[in-house]
Amino acid sequence: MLAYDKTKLENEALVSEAKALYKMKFISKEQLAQTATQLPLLQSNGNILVRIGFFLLGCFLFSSVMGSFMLLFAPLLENYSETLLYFYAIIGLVGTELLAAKNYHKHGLDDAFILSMQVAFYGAIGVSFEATLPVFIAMIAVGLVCCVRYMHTLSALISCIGWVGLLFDLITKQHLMDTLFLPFVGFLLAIGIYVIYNKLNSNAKNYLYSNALWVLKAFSLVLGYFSVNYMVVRELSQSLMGIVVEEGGDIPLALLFYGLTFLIPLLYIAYSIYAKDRMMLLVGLLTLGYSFFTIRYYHQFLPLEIILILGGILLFVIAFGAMKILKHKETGVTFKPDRSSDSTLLLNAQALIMATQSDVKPVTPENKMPFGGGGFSGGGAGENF
Amino acid sequence: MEKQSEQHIEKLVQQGFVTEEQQAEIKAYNKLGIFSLNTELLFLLYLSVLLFTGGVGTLVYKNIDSIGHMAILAVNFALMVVCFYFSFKKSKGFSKEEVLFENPIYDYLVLTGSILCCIFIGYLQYQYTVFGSDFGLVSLFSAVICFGIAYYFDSRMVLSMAITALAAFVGITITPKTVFENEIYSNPTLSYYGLVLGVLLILWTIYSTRVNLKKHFYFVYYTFAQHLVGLCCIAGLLEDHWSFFVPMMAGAVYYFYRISHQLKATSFFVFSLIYGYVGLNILLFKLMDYIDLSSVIDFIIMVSPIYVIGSIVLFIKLVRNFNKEKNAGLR
Repeated sequence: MLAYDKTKLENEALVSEAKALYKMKFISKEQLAQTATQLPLLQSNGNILVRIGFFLLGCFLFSSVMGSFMLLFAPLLENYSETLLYFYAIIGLVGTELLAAKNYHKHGLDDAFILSMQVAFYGAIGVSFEATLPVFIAMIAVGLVCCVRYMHTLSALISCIGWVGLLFDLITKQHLMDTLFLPFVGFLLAIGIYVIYNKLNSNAKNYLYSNALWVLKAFSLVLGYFSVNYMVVRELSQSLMGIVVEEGGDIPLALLFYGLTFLIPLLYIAYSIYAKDRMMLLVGLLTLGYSFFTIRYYHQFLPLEIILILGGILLFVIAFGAMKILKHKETGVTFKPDRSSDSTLLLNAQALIMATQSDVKPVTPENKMPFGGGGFSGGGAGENF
Repeated sequence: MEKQSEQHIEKLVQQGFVTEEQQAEIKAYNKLGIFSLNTELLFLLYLSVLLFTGGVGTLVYKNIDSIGHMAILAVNFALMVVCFYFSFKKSKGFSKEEVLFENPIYDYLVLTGSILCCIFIGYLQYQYTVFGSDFGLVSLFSAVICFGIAYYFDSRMVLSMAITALAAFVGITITPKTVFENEIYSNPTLSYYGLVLGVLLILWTIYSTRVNLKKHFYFVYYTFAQHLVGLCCIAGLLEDHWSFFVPMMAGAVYYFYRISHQLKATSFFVFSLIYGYVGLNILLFKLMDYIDLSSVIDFIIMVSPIYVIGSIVLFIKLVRNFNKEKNAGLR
């Protein structure tokens, strides 16, 4: 089933472990270099920029092949446009297999072909059935196969999206059950995915798929939050069930959803610190931010700028307080930098984010801009600020 | 996950890549169960600064008629002074080398102060036109102040504000969101200005490296310079007088290619290849346009995969060379 040589994949895992150890200053540069040069490896690009570059080149290649193919066969296939799409999927498959045989893995080129093949295939299915349900089923199946055979992490995500799409389609279009249950079905799906993740993760044999498992977990956490988020539920029930929320009224079970909107992120954060799970902590923080946005969206109790100032101060107090508390702790949860943390990376990243946030363009009185500076969270201060 | 990591280390020990003493050290470290919230808390702090200054900015803007100018200016100025008072108190003073505050919180205080300072200057100009009718001077003034703060407190965040302000003085907005709707494309003279600014930034970085003045700022400078020069050259290549930009583009690509090899910095390497490739393709299209190949367009589309495969092979070679050198540097 696996398209790659298993020893080489295991070597990849060993080298990435060695890299982690080097970053944590346990082993020397020589040892890392030795590991990386002596073990036979696959063709992969560790750097994400290089990988994206090759991904783009791979997409160019695929589309140029598509273009020449079209010119060659267009006169023959005039009335069978979906056949052409299947052909493209086959081209993608051939390219993917060729690259896998040449040991290209996590290289960018292989990503381009695996994804292009899938897009062409789903497009072909969609065109020939003229319905979305078969497309979602195809996504679940093909995504899973690609994930298992090519160890392709994003395909795991495609498979998960396929599940969500399938359930959504079944409930809203095929009327399998009342639309009212949609949030709970989504939540159950999230729990199901998390259970599957847990089961697979506890089996040491699956360590080669650790990235795909990581995606599975992140997806289940995010899905679990958004399936019961008040804003999502309210907007969906308005558009799907035709519920009109009047002044002073609310959607059914509003209180439950309000509660869950805040409870789930807090649960994530608490559990993540208990279990020392960085990814869950991040998801918790981000979803908590979105919860505040949700509340703010429906209840404008204070002007925005006051919220910003108060929020800024509150956040400052929380962060500052946490630093004070953790400052002298040497074990467990601490404020001490990780052995592997690279402070220049954070500093450079912040410097570049600053460039996206600050707007120090001169202001001309005509467009009524009173000042030039001032960052703004999220979207960045635009000119109308 | 931890179990897997232990197994991997066990295998590395078996194959002789990691010594047993090191393994023992790793085990002892893992027993501590350290879970560092350093990055997360610092980032929350950073976010709080952005929220707060964003709020102050909006407040000033909305209440511009009701609060009275002096009050706004006074509050803004007072906050700024407070920020800088504590920063100066804790600062270790100016040094040509990298100096960090003992507590990283002061970095963010410096940042808050600088943003408030820019708001202050902008407001002063808006209300009292202290710099006369030339609004560009405001940016220049902000840039000078920010450069001063950045060099004194060793703050890369303020440095990037300073460079942005300098670019604004020239007339260019360099933020990622404006790249595609950039004025450079509608106002050709700007691409010359941008080019000059980019070259100046490069020269300044070379000079700083030579005299050992805050050498670690090179990453911020070079990043700005590379994108400024690259985007201006692409914009220039699309103009009528494009021939001037061909040597410029070639020079810039070559320079950053060499720099990336020198500094082993992958981002410069990747972007120099990307700008080079985009530039080359623009030239190819111009060439095709010039000798009018529309009659054989079918043929060109047919052979285009060969061209793409050729370039992929070339890029794979270049990346392999680069990685070889980078790994050699590891040894």
